[in-house]
Amino acid sequence: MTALILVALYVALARSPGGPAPGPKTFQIVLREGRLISSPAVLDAVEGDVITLAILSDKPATLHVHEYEQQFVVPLNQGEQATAAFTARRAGRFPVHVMGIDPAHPEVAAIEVHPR
Amino acid sequence: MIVAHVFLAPYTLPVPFWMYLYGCAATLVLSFALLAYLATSTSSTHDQHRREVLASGAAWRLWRWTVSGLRVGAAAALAMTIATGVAGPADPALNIGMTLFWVYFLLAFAYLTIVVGDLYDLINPWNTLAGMLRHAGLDVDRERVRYPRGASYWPAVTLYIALVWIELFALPRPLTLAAALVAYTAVTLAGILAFGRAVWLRYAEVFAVFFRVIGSLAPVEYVPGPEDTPRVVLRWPLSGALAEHADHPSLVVFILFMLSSTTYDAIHETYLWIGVYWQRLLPVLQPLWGTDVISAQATLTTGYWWYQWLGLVASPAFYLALYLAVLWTAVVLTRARVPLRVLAGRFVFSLVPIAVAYHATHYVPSMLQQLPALLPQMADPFGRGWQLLPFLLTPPAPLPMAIVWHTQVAVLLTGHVAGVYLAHFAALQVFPTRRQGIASQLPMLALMVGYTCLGLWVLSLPLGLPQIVPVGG
Repeated sequence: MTALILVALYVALARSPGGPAPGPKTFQIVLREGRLISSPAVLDAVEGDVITLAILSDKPATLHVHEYEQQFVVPLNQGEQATAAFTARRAGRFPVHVMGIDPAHPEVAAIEVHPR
Repeated sequence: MIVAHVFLAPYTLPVPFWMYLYGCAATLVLSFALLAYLATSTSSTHDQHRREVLASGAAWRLWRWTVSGLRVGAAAALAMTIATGVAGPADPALNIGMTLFWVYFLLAFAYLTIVVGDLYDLINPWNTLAGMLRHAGLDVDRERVRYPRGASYWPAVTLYIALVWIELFALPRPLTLAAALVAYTAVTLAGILAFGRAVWLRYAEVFAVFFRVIGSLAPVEYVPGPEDTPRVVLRWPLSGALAEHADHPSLVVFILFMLSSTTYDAIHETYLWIGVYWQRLLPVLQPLWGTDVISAQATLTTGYWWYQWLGLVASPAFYLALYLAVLWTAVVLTRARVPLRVLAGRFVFSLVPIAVAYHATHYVPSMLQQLPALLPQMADPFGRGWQLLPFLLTPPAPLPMAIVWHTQVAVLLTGHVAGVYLAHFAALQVFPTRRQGIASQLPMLALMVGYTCLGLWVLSLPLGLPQIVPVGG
């Protein structure tokens, strides 16, 4: 009886994970003193999206995006916009760190890739 | 400089809202089904079903060698963690000591303990070091200084808070870990020499207390045996926790910190918690920092970290207040003359399965990602380009989110069921009549439903980032 109720509840409530519509996504990231001053800080995407980051920093640094199997490193020159594009192959939350300004290499943004 | 590899960072997305709702509904359904079953059941606490295994012949010899081997292995792992922290790779994701300590010892070994019992008590590397001191002629079992009665488990509580603080807020540097372990070894050996080995390992050695509490759930118990090797006794799962009670309020706080620190770890990175500081507190405190958010960045960031640290330290107080309020309600409801202190000590072990479930839902996905790193790290533990073993560092494929989410909800529900089961038998033990025992279940059940739904809710919260958010934005 309990198992039946649990299954019925599950069927009644279950929804597909959802998330934003798939497609190419471009995000602007503006850094001041190695900190994010643009918004949003959490960038939403869907599995399979081609994500383009357009980054502007007031200091020379590098931006690291940590994907599961690979790590993207984007060199940033003072006052010049840098761009980097990659395909979101897996669902999950990928941190974005700035290196070379603050020794704590802070996480300035995160890319959340939702399951399709 | 540290290369920015990510070490044990959560990669999972928040549980979808519908799954959170399902988890809460299932918690209620399971609770009432279990309560109805237990209220009419005449089953015993299964305490009489115990059986010794590995007791004779080749099995005993093999067990004895296994214990000896594990003792050497545990001491070697501690030495390796310290040595590679000093002379190994500075990148935490490449350092074997970081994997050994944070992943294998604190996570994988904790979950193994639920199955194999308090194995740590047999192979504790600090106990092995004390044994070496004894071999060298030092009496490590003598209580040179009388252990203060009121101190009880407070040193373990303090060290536990320090451990979680390092985990959450210190940079994940192998050298920091090595320094912390050297300091901990010094404190532990000094404590053993001052207060005696038995006292220090029982009350103050944080890992000993942690694994003993978790081991109470296991179907395996170790009892003193000959030749410095314990006997192995099989028992019903959870029956160890039924026999346990907290003999001092400090152990109650320790167990509640197991719950609260994991909740805090999960909540402290959410928009909700971060927003309380940046969007609620800062406008109130504006006279202290001025009007320009960017120029006051250093002050505000320092304040932010203090806010986070205070949150961690205060978290067990929140859980304790809830816990005591519920026990007080049970006393009022049943009109039983049982002191609150006795009830708090008796019921607290029924929260251990919920704490372990919280812990597992939060850390297992990241742990699975990091576990395979050990073999390639063993091939080159000092980062000198050695190839002692034929393994390369290739991260495994992550689990699909649907599997992670479903497993998280299932684990929390399992912990909840185990908690309700334990609380039922604890109530029968501590309340004078069966009627009072069953009546006392209602507030405890409400508390456990609350804890489990809180755990589910925290899992479903969107994550934020520890940085400046425009005030009012």
